[in-house]
Amino acid sequence: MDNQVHNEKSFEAFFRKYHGAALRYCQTIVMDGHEAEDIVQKVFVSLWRVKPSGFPDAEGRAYLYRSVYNASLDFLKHQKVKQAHAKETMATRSTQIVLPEGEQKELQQLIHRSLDTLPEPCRKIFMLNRFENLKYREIAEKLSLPEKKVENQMGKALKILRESLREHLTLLLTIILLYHD
Amino acid sequence: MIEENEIDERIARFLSGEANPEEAMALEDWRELSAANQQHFARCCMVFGYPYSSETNDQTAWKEIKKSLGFTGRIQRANFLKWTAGIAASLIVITVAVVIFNGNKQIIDPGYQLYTAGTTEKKILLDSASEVVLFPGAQLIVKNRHTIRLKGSASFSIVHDPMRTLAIETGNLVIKDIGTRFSVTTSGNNDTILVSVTEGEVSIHEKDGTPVEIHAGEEARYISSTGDLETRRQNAPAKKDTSGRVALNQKGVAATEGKPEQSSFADQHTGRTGNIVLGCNSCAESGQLELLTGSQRKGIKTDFTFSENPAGSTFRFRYSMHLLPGEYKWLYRDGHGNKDSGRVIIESGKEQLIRLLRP
Repeated sequence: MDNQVHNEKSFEAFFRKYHGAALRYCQTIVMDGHEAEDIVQKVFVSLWRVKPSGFPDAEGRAYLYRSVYNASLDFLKHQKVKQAHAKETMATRSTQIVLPEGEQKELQQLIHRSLDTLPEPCRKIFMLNRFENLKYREIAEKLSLPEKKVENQMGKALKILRESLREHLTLLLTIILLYHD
Repeated sequence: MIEENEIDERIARFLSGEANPEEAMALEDWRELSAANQQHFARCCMVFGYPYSSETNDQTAWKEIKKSLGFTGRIQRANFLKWTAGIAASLIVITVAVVIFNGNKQIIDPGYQLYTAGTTEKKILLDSASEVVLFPGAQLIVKNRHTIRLKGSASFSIVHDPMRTLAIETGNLVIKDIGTRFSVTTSGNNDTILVSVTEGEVSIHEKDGTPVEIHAGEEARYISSTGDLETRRQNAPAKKDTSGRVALNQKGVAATEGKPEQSSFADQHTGRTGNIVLGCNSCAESGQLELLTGSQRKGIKTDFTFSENPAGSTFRFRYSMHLLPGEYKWLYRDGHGNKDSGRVIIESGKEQLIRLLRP
């Protein structure tokens, strides 16, 4: 019984250490907050069933991430998320509340205006990814570009947008932190 | 470690859902390094319209998990069913599929991923850059990021990763990727396995056997029932598919049979394997054998443990291994500081005895 209690405590510590990061990762793939919570919780349950005595930390973490990745891809296959979300705007992508509604709208408008300042093909690539939910490989095929170039341009877009919106993002980040306290 | 000049690329990749597990972990490590990194990441999330929150609802999630696993001593059946239904369904699928696959009952690790190609080819992504194409009727079990098991035929396109050596088990053969494109074709009721390398190189060996390297433009044919392994240059002309990758003729062994090229004996090893047997009376329990062959000085190095012979045998200690026919220079070292060397010619189906450390 002592072993069981010890294992449960270790598992809880493992959970608390990695649940947030695993959830963030899952959300980027399935693009749905509620589904991501479900998937990640199922993965943790299955981890316990595989080995209640636990893994060494690094191995357990790698196993967790790989399991979340596989479970997320399985979910996408069954849900046809792309079609369901094809016309969603960024603002409606998830149900998780981030900002008060007014600030959210203002941010969206600022981002849309800043998109016009991006050079081509950076702007086109960013919009294909964010608004049409195309994967890097699909964008590369569509624009006849190497996938690596798409990756570079996405990083460039992010950097330009982040810097052009720096002051506003800093203010909004402060609002988030205050909002959640 | 992520370089500063590539961090935005990495974050964009992550937020686009393109990151593989290793990339996601690396990014998380970077994020955890400092508050500045966390703010940088948070700003990027907002640019992407991503629902960033510095906190996740861990407490609620943990409560649900505790209930599901019965940590509180009670299992609420509704939640148990909710949390395990999905897992149970996938476990059943994997269990049934692998039982059929093997014809034996065995306990299946829920971490396994099973892929089956029906009447058409099936492409499987192992990670963001490496892929397997299963030919019709083939099956693949991904045990973990280092080991996969194949039944049937497939082609592989593997990007070399120094942090991962991929081993592919098929029958009694193990194929280790060294960063390559190659195909595995089984025929003759899975008794014959043909490994053809298009780019790079692979290492193949029987489960307890000596590795043999196969390079681009070469192929190896392995007969499971006899343990015969032969290598040769590929004879069939390759054809390009529309993706630009070179695909070999999928007719398998029949398409590439023919007289092997004539080349220097030491560089071209063909035919059935022979045995080299090392015997000694006064060596350490274990040693290392290095075999050099050919003008290119290609080497095989193997650490081994001697087995003890019955009383009355010529030698007290013995080690045996299969080699392709050819001439080799051998070098022996053991833990007692003993060294020995010599030359040996291996012939198909024959055994060559070498007495080590002659007084």
